[in-house]
Amino acid sequence: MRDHARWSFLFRQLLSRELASRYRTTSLGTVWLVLQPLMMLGVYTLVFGGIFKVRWSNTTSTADFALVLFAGLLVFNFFSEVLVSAPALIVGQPNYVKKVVFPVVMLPVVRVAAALVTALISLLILLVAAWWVSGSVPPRAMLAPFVLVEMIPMMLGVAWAISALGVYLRDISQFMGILASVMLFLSPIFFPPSSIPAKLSALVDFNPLVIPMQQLRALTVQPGPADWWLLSEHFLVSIVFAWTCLALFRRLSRGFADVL
Amino acid sequence: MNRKDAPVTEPAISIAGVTKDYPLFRSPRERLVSLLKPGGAAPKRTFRALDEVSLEVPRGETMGIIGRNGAGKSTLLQILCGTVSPTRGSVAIRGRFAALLELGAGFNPDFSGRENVYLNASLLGLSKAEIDGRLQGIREFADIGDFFDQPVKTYSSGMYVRLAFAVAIHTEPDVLIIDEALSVGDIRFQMKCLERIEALRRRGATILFVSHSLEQIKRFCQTAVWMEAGKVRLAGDATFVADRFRDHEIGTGPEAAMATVEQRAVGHAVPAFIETVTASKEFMAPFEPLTVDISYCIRDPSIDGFLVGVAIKGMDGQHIFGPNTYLERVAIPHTQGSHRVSYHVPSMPLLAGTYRIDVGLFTEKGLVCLDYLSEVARITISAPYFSEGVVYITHEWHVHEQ
Repeated sequence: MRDHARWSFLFRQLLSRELASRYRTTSLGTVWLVLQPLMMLGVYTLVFGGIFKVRWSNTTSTADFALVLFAGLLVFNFFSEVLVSAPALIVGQPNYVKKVVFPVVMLPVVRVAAALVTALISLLILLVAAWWVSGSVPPRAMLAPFVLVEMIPMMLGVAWAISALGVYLRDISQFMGILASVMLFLSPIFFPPSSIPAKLSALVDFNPLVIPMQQLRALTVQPGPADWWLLSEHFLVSIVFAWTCLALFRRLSRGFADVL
Repeated sequence: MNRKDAPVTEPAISIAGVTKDYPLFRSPRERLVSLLKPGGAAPKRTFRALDEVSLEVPRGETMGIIGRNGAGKSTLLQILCGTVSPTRGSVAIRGRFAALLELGAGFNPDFSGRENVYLNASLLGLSKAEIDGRLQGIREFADIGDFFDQPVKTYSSGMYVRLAFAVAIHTEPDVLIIDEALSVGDIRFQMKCLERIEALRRRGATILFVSHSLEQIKRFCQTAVWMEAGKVRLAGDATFVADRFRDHEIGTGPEAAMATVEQRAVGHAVPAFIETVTASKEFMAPFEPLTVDISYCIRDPSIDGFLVGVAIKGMDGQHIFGPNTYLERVAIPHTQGSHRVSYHVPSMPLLAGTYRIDVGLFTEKGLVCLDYLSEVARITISAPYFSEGVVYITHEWHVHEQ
């Protein structure tokens, strides 16, 4: 019980430290939390909606397209933020591995939690924007945060596995940057999954981001209802994945102090 | 890490047969593969940092650990703290423990002293309420004024260490593990830390203390352990162990003492070395003459300011008298080849006791030691009791009657 309280206190401190360190040292501070996703949204809307004239089948205006795009982007950003930063999570904290008694398994958890906070803020922006564009938001949008919560086990698995491997394989961080770019264009962000040719359907079937993206849209900016069965399946697979990755992390963590 | 009310007889720290092998891999990738293999394939080469170390520290005892660099001291502490896992064997610490392996290792430079206190103290095992209650004490102990609310990256190294030590000591651990942490900070702060540790000890805390300062070990610890090449070489009373270690380090341990000069292997690079030393007697009475005959060989005649020194010391190492040929302006030969000089005391003023004689060759007016034979001879002076002390000082008594 005592240990549990200590761990949660430590976790809260690390999380607030993590969030603050992103924005505290900048002059605009927390404004960036809102400004950064808005600017990305502006650029993507301009390029894909205004220049390439990409249209989803049921969107007519550029504003509608922007909302659909933003919903997908939000899920992708949650994923890529964890993916790209994971290799350095343990490597960047040699003191926590070698010099102080520290539950290093918590570092990936903190990073996922911080990314989740950013994603929830983006979701709030999405809902405000949707309300502003169409004048109303469907009541089921209240359930949209569950899609992000559903992603937590998947993100934890990614963070544990990549951060542990990153200790041994330093070039993995280069690879994760490339992987994130590839995922950006192979996920249904700028185009609907239905527009992917049948020959390439594996891109949809095996891309773990498709279900969260589509379900988040179904709950917010596209016609519902959401497919909760599909989400539950995705969730269960994610749990198994996270559990496996945690076991991998624990196994590899035995050698951290020897390598760092 | 939970505080357990163990029976008093149980030692606070037990280390049982701990061995630590560091596998030597050619690359981190090779290490990864061996970790992933089921059963863990044994690496081809290993380095044994600790070899079957067993130790127990009874509750309330302060134990020092000494040894050369690379003897395994830090590895042992790391295993105790749980940052490194042993290859074989087990360790147990009973009670809350705090480790000062490196002061302020968990600090974040961008955050204020106050925030780091919270972070660091919770790493050391305190709850928020406990930290709240101790914050003022920590602040006063660190004594860094308004810097407490500034980012620690603006701190001087002294302030950094003070804050870190203040946090660690305020966790009030049952077991405190210190790795050379006290060698930092100014003298005043060091004394403050020692006082605080002393107070912890009076309340019954167990302390394990690694230091290169033998003085600190002697002053501070009841027992000490001398580690060498991953093994415990000697354990026991702190002063005894520290003295044996020092003797060993300067090559004057009992086994090295009285070593015949001829048996020494003299490296070819030495520019000069002592060939033989002979004292005219081993047992004598006060005021008898003594002659020490020294022959030395010079290989490199270009050495500058060559001198020979002879020291007479007490068996406790106290330096009684040690003149040299440079200070006394005696010209001695320093051409290539063997030479002989004698050191003659016409009337030895030492009182009863056993004394040792050291002989050394130096250059540069005594700055660089070329060869030094410690306790190359011993003299024992016996006499009827006629005075207290070590040396006879010429004196007179005068009686003044009114």
